[in-house]
Amino acid sequence: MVSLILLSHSEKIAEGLKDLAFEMAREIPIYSVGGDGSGGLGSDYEKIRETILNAYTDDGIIILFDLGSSRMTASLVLEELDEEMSQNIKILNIPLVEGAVTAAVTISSGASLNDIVESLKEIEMIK
Amino acid sequence: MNAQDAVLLLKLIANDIEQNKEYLTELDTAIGDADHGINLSRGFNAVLPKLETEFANVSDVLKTLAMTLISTVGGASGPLYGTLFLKMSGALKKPELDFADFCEIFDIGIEGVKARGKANKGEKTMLDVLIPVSDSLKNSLAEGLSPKEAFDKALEVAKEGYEYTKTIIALKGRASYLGERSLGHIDPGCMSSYIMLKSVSEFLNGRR
Repeated sequence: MVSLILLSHSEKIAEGLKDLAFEMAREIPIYSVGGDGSGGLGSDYEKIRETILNAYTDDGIIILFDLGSSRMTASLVLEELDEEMSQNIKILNIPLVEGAVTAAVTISSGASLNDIVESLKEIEMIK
Repeated sequence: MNAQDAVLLLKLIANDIEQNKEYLTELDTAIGDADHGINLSRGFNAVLPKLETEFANVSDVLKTLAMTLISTVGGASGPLYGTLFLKMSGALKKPELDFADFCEIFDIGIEGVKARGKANKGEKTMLDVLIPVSDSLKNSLAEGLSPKEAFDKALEVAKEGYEYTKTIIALKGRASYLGERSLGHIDPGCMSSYIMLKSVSEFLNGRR
Protein backbone atom coordinates (compact mmCIF):
# COMPACT_ATOMS: atom_id res chain seq x y z
CA MET A 1 0.00 0.00 0.00
CA VAL A 2 1.29 3.43 -0.96
CA SER A 3 1.87 5.82 1.96
CA LEU A 4 0.53 9.37 2.01
CA ILE A 5 2.43 12.29 3.58
CA LEU A 6 0.61 15.58 4.19
CA LEU A 7 3.10 18.42 4.47
CA SER A 8 2.16 21.92 5.54
CA HIS A 9 3.75 25.07 6.95
CA SER A 10 1.34 24.60 9.83
CA GLU A 11 1.41 21.54 12.07
CA LYS A 12 -2.29 22.10 12.83
CA ILE A 13 -3.22 22.05 9.14
CA ALA A 14 -1.23 18.87 8.57
CA GLU A 15 -2.76 17.11 11.59
CA GLY A 16 -6.31 18.26 10.89
CA LEU A 17 -6.01 17.20 7.30
CA LYS A 18 -4.74 13.79 8.35
CA ASP A 19 -7.94 13.34 10.40
CA LEU A 20 -10.02 14.40 7.42
CA ALA A 21 -8.33 12.01 5.01
CA PHE A 22 -8.33 9.18 7.55
CA GLU A 23 -12.11 9.42 7.80
CA MET A 24 -12.37 8.44 4.14
CA ALA A 25 -9.63 5.82 4.05
CA ARG A 26 -8.97 4.23 7.44
CA GLU A 27 -6.77 1.46 6.17
CA ILE A 28 -4.03 3.47 4.50
CA PRO A 29 -0.82 4.77 6.12
CA ILE A 30 -1.20 8.57 6.44
CA TYR A 31 1.50 10.76 7.97
CA SER A 32 1.32 14.45 8.78
CA VAL A 33 4.26 16.81 9.14
CA GLY A 34 4.23 20.57 9.58
CA GLY A 35 5.79 23.61 11.18
CA ASP A 36 9.33 24.80 11.73
CA GLY A 37 10.13 22.32 14.49
CA SER A 38 9.85 24.84 17.32
CA GLY A 39 6.13 25.49 17.32
CA GLY A 40 6.12 28.12 14.56
CA LEU A 41 5.09 28.11 10.92
CA GLY A 42 7.60 26.85 8.37
CA SER A 43 9.42 23.75 7.15
CA ASP A 44 11.76 21.56 9.15
CA TYR A 45 14.21 19.54 7.07
CA GLU A 46 14.92 16.96 9.79
CA LYS A 47 11.26 16.40 10.65
CA ILE A 48 10.37 15.98 6.99
CA ARG A 49 13.28 13.59 6.49
CA GLU A 50 12.26 11.47 9.50
CA THR A 51 8.65 11.34 8.34
CA ILE A 52 9.70 10.19 4.88
CA LEU A 53 11.98 7.49 6.32
CA ASN A 54 9.21 6.31 8.67
CA ALA A 55 6.63 6.24 5.91
CA TYR A 56 8.81 4.53 3.33
CA THR A 57 8.01 1.10 1.94
CA ASP A 58 8.84 -0.30 -1.51
CA ASP A 59 5.24 0.49 -2.52
CA GLY A 60 6.19 4.15 -2.41
CA ILE A 61 5.05 7.45 -1.01
CA ILE A 62 2.91 10.31 -2.25
CA ILE A 63 3.69 13.71 -0.74
CA LEU A 64 1.23 16.61 -0.87
CA PHE A 65 2.34 20.08 0.21
CA ASP A 66 0.93 23.58 0.68
CA LEU A 67 3.38 26.37 -0.19
CA GLY A 68 6.73 26.63 -1.97
CA SER A 69 9.21 26.00 0.81
CA SER A 70 7.45 22.78 1.85
CA ARG A 71 8.04 21.44 -1.65
CA MET A 72 11.59 22.77 -1.80
CA THR A 73 12.53 21.23 1.54
CA ALA A 74 10.97 17.87 0.65
CA SER A 75 12.76 17.83 -2.71
CA LEU A 76 16.08 18.51 -0.97
CA VAL A 77 15.44 15.53 1.32
CA LEU A 78 14.71 13.33 -1.72
CA GLU A 79 17.95 14.38 -3.43
CA GLU A 80 19.93 13.22 -0.41
CA LEU A 81 18.28 9.75 -0.39
CA ASP A 82 19.36 6.73 -2.47
CA GLU A 83 17.99 6.95 -5.98
CA GLU A 84 16.28 3.59 -5.49
CA MET A 85 14.23 5.12 -2.69
CA SER A 86 13.70 8.60 -4.11
CA GLN A 87 12.25 7.31 -7.37
CA ASN A 88 9.45 5.68 -5.33
CA ILE A 89 8.52 9.01 -3.75
CA LYS A 90 6.38 11.48 -5.68
CA ILE A 91 5.67 15.08 -4.73
CA LEU A 92 2.41 16.05 -6.46
CA ASN A 93 1.14 19.49 -7.50
CA ILE A 94 -2.46 18.99 -6.42
CA PRO A 95 -4.57 21.05 -4.00
CA LEU A 96 -3.63 20.06 -0.47
CA VAL A 97 -7.07 19.64 1.14
CA GLU A 98 -9.19 18.20 -1.65
CA GLY A 99 -6.12 16.41 -3.02
CA ALA A 100 -5.51 14.69 0.32
CA VAL A 101 -9.00 13.20 0.35
CA THR A 102 -8.83 12.20 -3.32
CA ALA A 103 -5.35 10.72 -2.90
CA ALA A 104 -6.35 8.81 0.25
CA VAL A 105 -9.35 7.24 -1.48
CA THR A 106 -7.32 6.44 -4.59
CA ILE A 107 -4.57 4.85 -2.50
CA SER A 108 -7.13 2.75 -0.59
CA SER A 109 -8.10 1.06 -3.87
CA GLY A 110 -4.71 -0.65 -3.66
CA ALA A 111 -3.45 0.74 -6.95
CA SER A 112 0.26 1.04 -7.72
CA LEU A 113 2.19 4.27 -7.21
CA ASN A 114 2.37 5.01 -10.94
CA ASP A 115 -1.36 4.39 -11.46
CA ILE A 116 -2.21 6.66 -8.55
CA VAL A 117 0.08 9.43 -9.83
CA GLU A 118 -1.49 9.10 -13.28
CA SER A 119 -5.04 9.31 -11.96
CA LEU A 120 -4.28 12.32 -9.72
CA LYS A 121 -2.96 14.26 -12.75
CA GLU A 122 -6.60 15.18 -13.38
CA ILE A 123 -6.61 17.55 -10.43
CA GLU A 124 -3.13 19.02 -10.94
CA MET A 125 -2.72 22.75 -10.43
CA ILE A 126 0.05 25.32 -10.82
CA LYS A 127 1.76 25.51 -7.45
CA MET B 1 41.02 31.81 -1.22
CA ASN B 2 41.70 28.88 1.10
CA ALA B 3 39.44 27.29 3.74
CA GLN B 4 40.65 29.65 6.48
CA ASP B 5 39.82 32.70 4.32
CA ALA B 6 36.40 31.23 3.55
CA VAL B 7 35.74 30.83 7.28
CA LEU B 8 36.73 34.47 7.93
CA LEU B 9 34.49 35.65 5.11
CA LEU B 10 31.60 33.57 6.40
CA LYS B 11 31.94 35.16 9.84
CA LEU B 12 31.69 38.60 8.20
CA ILE B 13 28.58 37.54 6.29
CA ALA B 14 26.99 36.11 9.46
CA ASN B 15 27.72 39.39 11.24
CA ASP B 16 26.23 41.49 8.44
CA ILE B 17 23.08 39.35 8.22
CA GLU B 18 22.66 39.76 11.98
CA GLN B 19 23.11 43.55 11.68
CA ASN B 20 20.45 43.67 8.96
CA LYS B 21 18.08 41.16 10.52
CA GLU B 22 15.39 43.71 11.32
CA TYR B 23 15.65 45.48 7.98
CA LEU B 24 15.26 42.18 6.09
CA THR B 25 12.27 41.22 8.20
CA GLU B 26 10.76 44.67 7.60
CA LEU B 27 11.05 44.16 3.83
CA ASP B 28 9.48 40.73 4.22
CA THR B 29 6.65 42.13 6.35
CA ALA B 30 5.59 44.34 3.45
CA ILE B 31 5.24 41.56 0.87
CA GLY B 32 5.88 38.22 2.55
CA ASP B 33 5.57 36.31 5.79
CA ALA B 34 7.73 38.63 7.90
CA ASP B 35 10.44 36.14 8.75
CA HIS B 36 13.32 36.55 6.26
CA GLY B 37 15.72 38.37 8.60
CA ILE B 38 14.86 36.24 11.63
CA ASN B 39 15.19 33.01 9.64
CA LEU B 40 18.51 33.87 7.99
CA SER B 41 19.95 35.14 11.23
CA ARG B 42 18.98 31.86 12.94
CA GLY B 43 20.66 29.94 10.11
CA PHE B 44 23.91 31.92 10.12
CA ASN B 45 24.09 31.94 13.91
CA ALA B 46 23.85 28.15 13.81
CA VAL B 47 26.77 28.06 11.35
CA LEU B 48 29.14 30.07 13.57
CA PRO B 49 29.97 27.37 16.17
CA LYS B 50 30.58 24.89 13.33
CA LEU B 51 33.31 27.15 11.93
CA GLU B 52 35.52 26.55 14.96
CA THR B 53 36.77 23.23 13.55
CA GLU B 54 39.58 22.88 11.00
CA PHE B 55 38.48 22.68 7.38
CA ALA B 56 40.66 21.01 4.75
CA ASN B 57 39.10 22.83 1.81
CA VAL B 58 36.66 25.54 0.73
CA SER B 59 34.17 22.97 -0.53
CA ASP B 60 33.69 21.58 3.00
CA VAL B 61 33.10 25.09 4.36
CA LEU B 62 30.41 25.65 1.72
CA LYS B 63 28.83 22.27 2.46
CA THR B 64 28.69 22.96 6.20
CA LEU B 65 27.07 26.31 5.47
CA ALA B 66 24.57 24.75 3.07
CA MET B 67 23.48 21.87 5.32
CA THR B 68 23.15 24.17 8.34
CA LEU B 69 20.98 26.64 6.43
CA ILE B 70 18.84 23.80 5.08
CA SER B 71 18.23 22.33 8.52
CA THR B 72 17.82 25.50 10.57
CA VAL B 73 16.34 28.35 8.50
CA GLY B 74 12.75 27.07 8.30
CA GLY B 75 11.59 29.39 5.48
CA ALA B 76 12.06 29.39 1.72
CA SER B 77 15.48 31.03 2.00
CA GLY B 78 16.78 27.85 3.70
CA PRO B 79 16.34 25.46 0.76
CA LEU B 80 17.19 28.23 -1.74
CA TYR B 81 20.46 29.49 -0.24
CA GLY B 82 21.12 25.91 0.90
CA THR B 83 20.87 24.73 -2.70
CA LEU B 84 23.07 27.60 -3.94
CA PHE B 85 25.91 26.74 -1.54
CA LEU B 86 25.43 22.97 -1.81
CA LYS B 87 25.75 23.05 -5.62
CA MET B 88 28.75 25.39 -5.33
CA SER B 89 30.35 23.00 -2.85
CA GLY B 90 29.76 19.98 -5.10
CA ALA B 91 31.15 21.75 -8.17
CA LEU B 92 34.41 22.82 -6.52
CA LYS B 93 36.98 20.11 -7.11
CA LYS B 94 40.06 21.94 -5.79
CA PRO B 95 40.91 22.66 -2.13
CA GLU B 96 41.21 26.40 -2.80
CA LEU B 97 39.19 28.83 -4.85
CA ASP B 98 40.32 31.45 -7.36
CA PHE B 99 38.24 34.04 -9.20
CA ALA B 100 37.67 31.85 -12.27
CA ASP B 101 36.59 28.92 -10.06
CA PHE B 102 34.19 31.21 -8.23
CA CYS B 103 32.56 32.38 -11.48
CA GLU B 104 32.14 28.77 -12.58
CA ILE B 105 30.69 27.36 -9.36
CA PHE B 106 28.52 30.43 -8.71
CA ASP B 107 26.88 29.85 -12.07
CA ILE B 108 26.24 26.18 -11.22
CA GLY B 109 24.79 27.22 -7.84
CA ILE B 110 22.42 29.67 -9.53
CA GLU B 111 21.20 26.97 -11.91
CA GLY B 112 20.39 24.95 -8.77
CA VAL B 113 18.41 27.85 -7.30
CA LYS B 114 16.46 28.25 -10.55
CA ALA B 115 15.55 24.56 -10.54
CA ARG B 116 14.71 24.44 -6.83
CA GLY B 117 12.48 27.52 -6.95
CA LYS B 118 11.16 26.87 -10.49
CA ALA B 119 12.04 30.52 -11.05
CA ASN B 120 13.93 32.80 -13.39
CA LYS B 121 15.01 36.43 -13.73
CA GLY B 122 12.24 39.06 -13.68
CA GLU B 123 9.99 37.26 -11.19
CA LYS B 124 11.00 39.32 -8.15
CA THR B 125 13.19 36.78 -6.42
CA MET B 126 16.83 36.63 -5.31
CA LEU B 127 17.63 35.64 -8.90
CA ASP B 128 17.15 39.30 -9.90
CA VAL B 129 20.38 40.00 -8.04
CA LEU B 130 22.18 36.68 -8.44
CA ILE B 131 21.90 36.33 -12.23
CA PRO B 132 23.06 39.88 -13.18
CA VAL B 133 25.87 39.61 -10.63
CA SER B 134 27.01 36.30 -12.08
CA ASP B 135 26.96 37.80 -15.61
CA SER B 136 28.87 40.86 -14.45
CA LEU B 137 31.53 38.74 -12.72
CA LYS B 138 31.98 36.58 -15.82
CA ASN B 139 32.42 39.71 -17.98
CA SER B 140 34.92 41.16 -15.54
CA LEU B 141 36.86 37.90 -15.55
CA ALA B 142 36.99 37.96 -19.37
CA GLU B 143 38.14 41.60 -19.29
CA GLY B 144 40.96 40.69 -16.93
CA LEU B 145 39.75 42.69 -13.91
CA SER B 146 40.99 41.70 -10.47
CA PRO B 147 38.51 39.99 -8.10
CA LYS B 148 38.42 43.18 -6.03
CA GLU B 149 37.54 45.35 -9.04
CA ALA B 150 35.09 42.74 -10.29
CA PHE B 151 33.19 42.53 -6.99
CA ASP B 152 33.10 46.32 -6.64
CA LYS B 153 31.48 46.44 -10.05
CA ALA B 154 29.17 43.50 -9.29
CA LEU B 155 27.97 45.25 -6.16
CA GLU B 156 26.69 48.14 -8.26
CA VAL B 157 24.92 45.63 -10.50
CA ALA B 158 23.42 43.99 -7.40
CA LYS B 159 22.10 47.37 -6.25
CA GLU B 160 20.47 47.93 -9.63
CA GLY B 161 19.05 44.40 -9.32
CA TYR B 162 17.27 44.99 -6.05
CA GLU B 163 16.10 48.47 -7.11
CA TYR B 164 14.64 46.86 -10.24
CA THR B 165 12.52 44.53 -8.10
CA LYS B 166 10.55 47.60 -6.91
CA THR B 167 9.28 48.00 -10.47
CA ILE B 168 8.06 44.44 -11.04
CA ILE B 169 5.27 42.22 -9.77
CA ALA B 170 6.18 39.11 -7.81
CA LEU B 171 5.50 35.91 -9.74
CA LYS B 172 7.08 33.47 -7.28
CA GLY B 173 6.97 32.92 -3.57
CA ARG B 174 4.64 34.29 -0.93
CA ALA B 175 4.69 37.80 -2.47
CA SER B 176 3.10 36.46 -5.66
CA TYR B 177 -0.22 36.17 -3.79
CA LEU B 178 -0.22 39.97 -3.53
CA GLY B 179 -0.05 40.52 -7.28
CA GLU B 180 0.15 44.25 -8.09
CA ARG B 181 0.38 45.11 -4.42
CA SER B 182 3.93 43.74 -4.50
CA LEU B 183 4.94 46.72 -6.70
CA GLY B 184 7.06 49.42 -5.09
CA HIS B 185 8.72 47.01 -2.66
CA ILE B 186 12.21 45.55 -2.73
CA ASP B 187 12.38 41.76 -2.77
CA PRO B 188 13.84 40.66 0.59
CA GLY B 189 15.78 37.78 -1.00
CA CYS B 190 17.47 40.25 -3.35
CA MET B 191 18.44 42.38 -0.38
CA SER B 192 19.93 39.47 1.56
CA SER B 193 21.90 38.44 -1.54
CA TYR B 194 23.14 42.02 -1.88
CA ILE B 195 24.19 42.10 1.78
CA MET B 196 26.22 38.90 1.34
CA LEU B 197 27.88 40.21 -1.82
CA LYS B 198 28.71 43.45 -0.03
CA SER B 199 30.45 41.39 2.66
CA VAL B 200 32.46 39.59 -0.05
CA SER B 201 33.43 42.87 -1.68
CA GLU B 202 34.50 44.38 1.65
CA PHE B 203 36.45 41.23 2.50
CA LEU B 204 38.36 41.58 -0.77
CA ASN B 205 39.01 45.21 0.17
CA GLY B 206 40.70 44.11 3.37
CA ARG B 207 37.90 44.14 5.95
CA ARG B 208 38.30 41.47 8.65
